[in-house]
Amino acid sequence: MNKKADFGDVLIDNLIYLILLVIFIAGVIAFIYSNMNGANVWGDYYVKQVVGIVDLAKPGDVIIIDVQKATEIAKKNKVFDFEEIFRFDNMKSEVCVKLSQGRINCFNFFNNVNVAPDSSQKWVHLAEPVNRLHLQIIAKEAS
Amino acid sequence: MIQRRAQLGEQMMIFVFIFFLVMIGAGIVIGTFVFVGAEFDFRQTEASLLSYKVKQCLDEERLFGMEKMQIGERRGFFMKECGFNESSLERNNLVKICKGDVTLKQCIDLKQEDSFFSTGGNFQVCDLNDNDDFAGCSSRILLKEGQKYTVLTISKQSIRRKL
Repeated sequence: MNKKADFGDVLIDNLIYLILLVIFIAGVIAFIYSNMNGANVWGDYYVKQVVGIVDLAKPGDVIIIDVQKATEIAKKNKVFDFEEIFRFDNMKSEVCVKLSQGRINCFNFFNNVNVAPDSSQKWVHLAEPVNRLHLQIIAKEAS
Repeated sequence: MIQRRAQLGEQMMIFVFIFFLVMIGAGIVIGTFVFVGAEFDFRQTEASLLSYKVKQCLDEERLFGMEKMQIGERRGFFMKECGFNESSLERNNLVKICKGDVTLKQCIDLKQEDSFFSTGGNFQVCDLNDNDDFAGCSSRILLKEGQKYTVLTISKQSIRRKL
C-alpha cells in the first residue's frame, strides 16, 4: 500500500518533466516532418522564381511555368486542390505558395501590375504534358 | 531543514533538463538546415532586376523633368513613370540614382536631397564588396546623351512564412 503511494508521488513529482518532454518531442517531430519532403525549400524556390518573372513582365504578357515538381510535393503533403498552391494577392502585390498543409511562403513583387489566371479561370493546367501554371499580366489601371 | 535543501536541489534540476532539451533541439535544427540548405537567397537577383528596370526607365527618358520637381513630388512621379508598386518597393527595396560624374562610393555617400532620386535609407551595404552576407545590392551605370547616371538598388526582402 505504501509502495503504491510512493509510486504516485514519484509520478506527480515528474509530471512537469513529462509534459515538457512530450511538448519537445512533438515539436521536433513536427519540425522534421515539415522539412522531410522539401516542401519548405521548394515553396521558397517557387515563390521567388514566380516573383522574379512577374517583376520583369509587362502588361499583356502571358506566362506559362512548369510546376510539375510543386504539384508532386503538394500532393504528397495532402494538398489535393492544386488551385490552392499558388495565390496572387494584387492588392498587396504578393505571391504565396502552399506546398504543405498549414504552411504558406509569401513574397512581394515590385512591378505595378495585376496577375490573373487565363480565360479558363484556372491557375494550374494539368498534363500539358506536365502540370503548368498559366498567368496573365494586366495593367493595374485596366483591371 | 535537510529535507528542504534536497527539495530545492531537485527543483533546480528542471533548469538542467531544459538546458538539455534546448541543446538537443538546436542540434536537430542545425543538422536539418545543414542537410536541406538555408533560405534560397533572392536578394541579389531582385536588386539586379530592379536596377535593370530603373536603368530601362532612365534610358527611355520617362524620368525627364524630374530634376525640377520638389523632393516630395519625385517619389510619386518615379513610381508611376517606371511602373513600380509604391508600397511594395518602399517596404522591401531602396533605390538611388546619381547624376553626373560620381564614383560608386560618392554616390553611396550622397545625401537624398543631392541625388537625382532616392527613396532614402542606408546604402552603405553597397560598399561591402564580395560579401555574401550583404548580397542585396546592385549597381548599374548608364551613359545617356553625355550624362552619366549611377543606379543603386538594394533588396532587403526575405520570405514570409504564414500558417
